[in-house]
Amino acid sequence: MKRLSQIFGCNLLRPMLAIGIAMLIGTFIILLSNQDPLFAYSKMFKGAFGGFSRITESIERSIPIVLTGLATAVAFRTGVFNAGVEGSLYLGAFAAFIVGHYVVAPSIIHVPLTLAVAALVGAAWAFIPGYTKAMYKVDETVTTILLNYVAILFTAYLVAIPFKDMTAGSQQTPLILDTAHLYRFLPPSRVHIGIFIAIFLAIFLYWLFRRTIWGYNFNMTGMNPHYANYIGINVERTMINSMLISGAIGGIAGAVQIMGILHRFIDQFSPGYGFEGITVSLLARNHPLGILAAGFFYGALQTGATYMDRTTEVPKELITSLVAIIIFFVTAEGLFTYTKQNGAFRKKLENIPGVRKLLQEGVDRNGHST
Amino acid sequence: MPQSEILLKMQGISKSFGPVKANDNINFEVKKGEIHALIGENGAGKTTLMKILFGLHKPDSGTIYFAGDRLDLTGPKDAMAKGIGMVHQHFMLIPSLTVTENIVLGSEPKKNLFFDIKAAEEQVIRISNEYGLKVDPKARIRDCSVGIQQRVEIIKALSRGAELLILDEPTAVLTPQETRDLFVVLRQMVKQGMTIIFISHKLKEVLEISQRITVMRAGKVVGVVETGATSEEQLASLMVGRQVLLRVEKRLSSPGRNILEVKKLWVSDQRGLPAVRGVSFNVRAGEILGVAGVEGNGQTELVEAICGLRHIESGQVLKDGNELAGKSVREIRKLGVAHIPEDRFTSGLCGEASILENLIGGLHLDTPFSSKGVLNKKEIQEFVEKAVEDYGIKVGSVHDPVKSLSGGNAQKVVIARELASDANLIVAAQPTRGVDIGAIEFIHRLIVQKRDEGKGILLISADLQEVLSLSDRLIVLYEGQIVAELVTRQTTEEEVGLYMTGGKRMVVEGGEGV
Ligand SMILES: Nc1ncnc2c1ncn2[C@@H]1O[C@H](COP(=O)(O)OP(=O)(O)OP(=O)(O)O)[C@@H](O)[C@H]1O
Ligand SMILES: [Mg+2]
Repeated sequence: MKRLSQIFGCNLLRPMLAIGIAMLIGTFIILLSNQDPLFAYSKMFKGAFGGFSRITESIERSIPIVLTGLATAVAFRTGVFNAGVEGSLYLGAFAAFIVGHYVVAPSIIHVPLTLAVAALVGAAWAFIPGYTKAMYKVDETVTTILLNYVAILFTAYLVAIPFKDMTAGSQQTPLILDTAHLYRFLPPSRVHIGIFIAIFLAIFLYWLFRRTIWGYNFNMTGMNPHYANYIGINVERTMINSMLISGAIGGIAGAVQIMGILHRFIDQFSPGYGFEGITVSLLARNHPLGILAAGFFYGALQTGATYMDRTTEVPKELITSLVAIIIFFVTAEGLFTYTKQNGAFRKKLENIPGVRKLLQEGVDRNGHST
Repeated sequence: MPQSEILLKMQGISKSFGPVKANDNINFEVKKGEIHALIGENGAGKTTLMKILFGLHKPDSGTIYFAGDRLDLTGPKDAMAKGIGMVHQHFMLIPSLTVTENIVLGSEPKKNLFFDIKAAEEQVIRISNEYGLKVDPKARIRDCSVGIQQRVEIIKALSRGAELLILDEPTAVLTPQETRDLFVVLRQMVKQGMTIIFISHKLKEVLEISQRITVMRAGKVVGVVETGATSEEQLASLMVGRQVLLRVEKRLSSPGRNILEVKKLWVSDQRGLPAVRGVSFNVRAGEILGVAGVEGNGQTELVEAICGLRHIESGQVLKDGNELAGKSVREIRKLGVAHIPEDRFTSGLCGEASILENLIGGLHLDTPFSSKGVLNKKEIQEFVEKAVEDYGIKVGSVHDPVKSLSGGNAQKVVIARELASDANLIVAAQPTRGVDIGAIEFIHRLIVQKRDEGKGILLISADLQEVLSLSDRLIVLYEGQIVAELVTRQTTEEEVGLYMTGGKRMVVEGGEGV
């Protein structure tokens, strides 16, 4: 157990407890709508894990979330609060459409090329808030959120006018070429090889954080920028580098969704993968391998909720709040443990009135001196 | 003073952290109305014992009796309710809040459900007057000096009705003047019936302020003595378990060429006001140049400017003839400058990171610790094991966070890292602050050894004795200017003290050489 918790960077017991409490509250919510909680929960569980088609749907749903989670984690580790993965995701997705639709090449070239261009576009987009944060101390939380709107609306324009598929009624582009598809290896499900990209990137980041200069610089800049600066790390460059990687993975997340599932760019195709990535990253305390687990949990939860909606009489609004409560509890638990360890993150949170006192009491109790 | 009544009795206290026995069957008694000093090497377990008394740690075994009752503390809140207050080694104030807000945080006076700031301020002023603890209730903590912050911590403890006050190394961060002020306050508090536990590594202070002394070593109590009946030497050998050299042994220096040349240097402080005002001096190979001065007279800014952490307004800093102004920290370090910073937990270390990670900071950028961007696990492991061994850093595992180390061991991590590069200029700011006498002896010997190897050392210390015993030559900073240049062997503590407080000044023409 100890070993396992070290690998995943979080103790599994506490999140479990958080889920338990959340489900208890959920029970009351379901009772409110005069339904049988046991029945509803069993449907939720069945929806997420009951049989091949359900499990594969959960996996399919979790692929983009794992990727956005990883993207978020890189920036968070460095103490940069990148809330703009959603923007990189949209632009990366659109870039994937362009390369996937217009470039003609054999699959072995077409797929990596499409991913690479999407990564570049995502990175370039994240460079803007990264640069202004590092050089001019412009608050990145604000800039990244604003830039999300720019990215989403810009792609909305592209898909509405210049690149619209004239044969379709809705706002979408034509299909990309078959050669740019990510292979679906578990038919009839839509689970595609994007899952290996996600796993590969998680392992890559795990290695990067532990075994490379960049990783060391990211970690130290995130935990104590004064220290990082004092030992000769270029803190500004480090922040920009981490935003570049974050944006690149965000772009890949968008591309993977286009190449694996949708096969075209569709306006508003993301239900908020970028933001779900923030949740997942916090849940896993920015630990890459933890994000694999947390991303799957999140995907399964969503799939289960959708199934519950289809098969029970519990109103959709209540299901949404049920999911929100579970996520809230689990994330709050993760956040609480995490902030105790991470100085920069703490400072950020301390600027929010109310949180400050909560944290202070946390320290008093665990107060540490040499 | 009649003070025979026992106020606190801790019996058979044990506490382990994994394999480390921080407290091993400890018996500790404090009489009502005394100032009781608790001393011991870094990692002896002083803070741990006090945290148990304050409810922050649960002892593995043992009982506590306080004012006749058995205490089973559930947490600091409980301890405070019972009349025990503690000022930690590292302060726990919130910089963005005011003095008053910090003091009442957690027990705010209320008027119809709302925070009653007036009542809170009155409370602060009342306690402040009662004990002569001068503070401005409306000032923000981030604008307060360390000395003031400490007063705020003390007032905070007093406002919760403490009868027994624990002060964990209160003087480590204070200037000599602030220490004197604190002692006046402590004596005043004792007069009003307070009992105080005082932890310090400075034996002179302990002898001056306390009535009785408990000595700890390696988790055990090794002696309880009446202050009147002991001496510095006896305490030192009790603490360390062997004879300790309280004086530094060193040969006369034989300085060579200039390693560092500082010419008419101007540096501004945080607020943009000039803090270093036209300072010129040299550090030569094979000598230790001491910088004496009351803290806050430009030492911090001077060091930061040399090490690339602060902008140089004008003037020159030449390292082996290379201009340092405008260079990055990395470039300066590559030119052979090592830096032991004055505040180890703000910038010298990354508290949450592991001991291993802290030992390789900066070194990780170059071979052999990394190649092509990838860290060399094997080299790092070997280096870290050797450093832990050579410097006698007491660790459970090198993968533990560095903040779990005691003060002296944490400082050894900084020193081991900084001395691992083959820099020929070592800028050492307060290298022995908060470090026990055994470790001080070790660090002093190391500095002298580096000097004898032909390196140049710039030593900044608020501890006058340290500067005098360690350096070959010294300059005195007062209000950002050099007011004296002295050859250490030809001066006295009194003379330097006079220069430090601005009572005397030498005509130092440009300050070039001596
Ligand atoms: N929270 C903790 N987790 C693990 N080990 C700890 C913890 N707190 C203290 N220790 C270990 O217990 C021992 C005693 O530490 P303690 O802080 O009590 O020493 P100290 O006498 O106060 O030293 P110093 O003079 O340096 O402050 C040390 O070896 C330290 O590393
Ligand atoms: Mg201590």
